[in-house]
Amino acid sequence: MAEYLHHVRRLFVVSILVAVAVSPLTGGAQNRDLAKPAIDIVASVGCATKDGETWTLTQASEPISTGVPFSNRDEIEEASGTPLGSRTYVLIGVADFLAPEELLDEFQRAEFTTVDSVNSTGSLVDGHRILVKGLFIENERINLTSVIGLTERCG
Amino acid sequence: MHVPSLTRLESKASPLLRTWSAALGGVFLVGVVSLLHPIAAAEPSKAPTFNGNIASILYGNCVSCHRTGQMAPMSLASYKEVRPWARAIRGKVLAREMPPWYADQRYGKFLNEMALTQEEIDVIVAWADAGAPEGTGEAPALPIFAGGWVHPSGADPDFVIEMPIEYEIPAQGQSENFSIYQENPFDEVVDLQAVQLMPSNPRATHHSSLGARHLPAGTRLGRGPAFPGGPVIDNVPVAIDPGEIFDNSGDRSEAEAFESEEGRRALREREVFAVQGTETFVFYVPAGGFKQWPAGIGKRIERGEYLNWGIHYNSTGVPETDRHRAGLWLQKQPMTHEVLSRRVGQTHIAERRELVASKLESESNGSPRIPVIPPGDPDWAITGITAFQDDVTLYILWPHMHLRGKDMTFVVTYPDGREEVILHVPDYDFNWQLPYELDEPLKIPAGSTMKTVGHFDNSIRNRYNPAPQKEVYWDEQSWDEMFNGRIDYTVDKLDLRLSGSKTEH
Repeated sequence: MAEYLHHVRRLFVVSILVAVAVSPLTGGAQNRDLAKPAIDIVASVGCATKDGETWTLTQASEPISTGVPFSNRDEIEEASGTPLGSRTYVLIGVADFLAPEELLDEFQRAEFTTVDSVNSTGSLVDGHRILVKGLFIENERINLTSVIGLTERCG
Repeated sequence: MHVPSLTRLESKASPLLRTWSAALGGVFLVGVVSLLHPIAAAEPSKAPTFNGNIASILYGNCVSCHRTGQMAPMSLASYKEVRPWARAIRGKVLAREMPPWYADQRYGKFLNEMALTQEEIDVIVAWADAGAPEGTGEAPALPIFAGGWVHPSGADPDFVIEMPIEYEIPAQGQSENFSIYQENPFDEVVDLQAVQLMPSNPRATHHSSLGARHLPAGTRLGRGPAFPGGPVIDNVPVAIDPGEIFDNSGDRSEAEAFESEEGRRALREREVFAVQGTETFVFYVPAGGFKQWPAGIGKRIERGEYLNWGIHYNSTGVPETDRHRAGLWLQKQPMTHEVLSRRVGQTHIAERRELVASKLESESNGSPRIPVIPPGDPDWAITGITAFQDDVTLYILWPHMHLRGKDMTFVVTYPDGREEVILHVPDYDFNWQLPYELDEPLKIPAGSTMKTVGHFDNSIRNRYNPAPQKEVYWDEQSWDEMFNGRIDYTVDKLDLRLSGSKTEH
């Protein structure tokens, strides 16, 4: 993952330099601001933890901006070797990553979804080490777009 | 520049105020009629009657299509016409097959809704079960259907564009969706405030659309088959390479337009915030065909784009012709936001497994490939997830699948953790690909995600399934599949007044 992120960072720096070089002085800054999203998509590795109805990612690594909301094989391989950290993030948008029975218990979709038709992955399991991706929003929360189970134990 | 198919009209208010009612099949007028003829609760000793109870329901919800000259197979404009169909009507409304509205009424409110209430269904069933009596007195008056332009201001369109050819519809046989392209008659960027699409022959028009896009890759405008095996017509994309044949059927034509060099460039320039786009302005289905956006918001036709007429005809048993017209109302003030379109789904979950991009897919910045649907699977599940990194405003939801499409649901997860189902289509029907226009635009804050959850039926139980014994691939032909939960939206920060042309983004 480190090499991949290094590559992404290098691309980002080059993009900025190119943008500055080709943009007119008046419009360039404005357009760069428009192209910069308000919320970042990040990746982090940590321990899935359930406390009552709340899911958190504990012992989590620093959030790393990834650009895309889905995961790829290289990232998963890198994540397996990423050391745990000290951050804690509240996870939201968990429904599609729970076990089917859990989704049916807790969410509006249970009104029209049966256990046979549920399409959740079950990769968010209390105590498992996971790689998550999602929108990094205020108060240390991540709105999930990807949850990949790494190991059944964490820490 | 003289373009025979383009007429500029002087803007003038009609002395008679026209309303949305005509575009929506006279819903407004009929609403008034309905108020005058409320549905009486059926008394135990007195069954509902046509004159007292049923006519107002049919006139309000059915006769916009079920009348002479329209696409529906029978007219329901009088007791005499309705009586023979009473049992069939009972069955159709009870199964909620008619009127063709597929949204679960528990979720979302939609401008173009055309569903019966449970009370209305109950009254129709009671009436049919009682022998479909006519009743005493007179039925309410039939609504008046305006035949012309229906902008609420009463103004005629600024421009009227005719389809470049008159299409001959054969008496028999099945027509596919196909595209007719037309050179852009405008020399400059045009910002649209409202659009109306009108077939000259509604009886033979199943549905249609108007948009603007580039020609598909490797094609030029020419003469060729409207669709594989279809009639040879002008104004279709034909392969530049004489050894190739271009397939102009609907989804393929659209998809390949975005694969062209110009299409990709336009996409990059126009939709920094979208993964895939289409510039459809308006859909015509019976009882619809007019689209107006909120003040300062609209669609844009760029220089160099072609007008694209997406057409699906319906043989009627006799040879017919049609030549659509479109009315365009331009923005009267600088447009602040352009309505963009995109497909929901960057991350995908298929059959309870999150899809992971391969090394090759990662290097090409592509998303993971979706696996095929296995033969015979009656309930193959897929979920698409899209992240909103900026504040957006949502206007239209459009589930698009093919013949094996079974259901689709749109769900928003807000940054506060709240989850909201905004559309649930439990019984998707390929033959009625309706857009769902939100009653009120929905503000979706940055940090939200949208999910589309769908299922496909590749079993023999699906009567539309052309080949249940085969694996189903993801492609544009109707015997392949698509999982396109499309949305029309604006990105709040992309204010055209601040940034000038969108091509500067």
